[in-house]
Amino acid sequence: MPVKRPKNLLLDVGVLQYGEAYATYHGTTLSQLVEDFLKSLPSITEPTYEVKSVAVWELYGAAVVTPEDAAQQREILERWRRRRGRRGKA
Amino acid sequence: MVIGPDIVLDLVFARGRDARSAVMLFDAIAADTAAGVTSRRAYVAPTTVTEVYAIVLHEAGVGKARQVTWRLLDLVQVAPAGKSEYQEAVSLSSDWELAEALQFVACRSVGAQYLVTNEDFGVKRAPVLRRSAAEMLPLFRRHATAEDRTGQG
Repeated sequence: MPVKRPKNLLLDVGVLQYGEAYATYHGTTLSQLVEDFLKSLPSITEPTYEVKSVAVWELYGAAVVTPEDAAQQREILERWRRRRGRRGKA
Repeated sequence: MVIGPDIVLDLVFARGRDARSAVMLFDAIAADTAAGVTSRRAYVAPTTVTEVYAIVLHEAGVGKARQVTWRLLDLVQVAPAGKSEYQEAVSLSSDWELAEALQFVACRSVGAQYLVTNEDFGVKRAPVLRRSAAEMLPLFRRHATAEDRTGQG
């Protein structure tokens, strides 16, 4: 279990509010969001790696979308599922 | 080797430092495929394909889900799973989820030495040998060197 310690951060109020709302929506905490972001930063000690394969280049980060796009996709998916559900009942 | 869904998701969601190892692993697999190396084929369990598709569909939409699945299948084989494999997985799955058990069964059915995953499945010893993507990379280098020496590479 990694040791955790508190840290004060000075954040823009709007950014903070959005971060809190986003964390609540996804059932997580602001601290976890910040931790996940920091973990995702690239290493500064390892040499950069250049992807060689076209297939891997296309796969790398292929599913990364903005939170807004992800929410929109979920909405589209939900609508599609509801429509399919109605068709199934008819 | 059989590759777990978490490694694929590290790659397609570019998840932190694990993504780098995943990129290097899949690059090594792609190089093997291009060179016609058949001694260390990369497989996924059938449930991995549907799991990755479902997660990418949920997060990024149907276009991305199809693109990711298509490209993934360019790089890996899907371990065959028929009645006997599912029955074997079901018999294991009181301790593990069925999708996890199918990964273990896939290792056995294709004769894979390792299940490439960062999951510990909540146990000290899973029924198969687990390796992270980073731990697999030296195996590729070692094999490449040996094949270069024997002129097979």
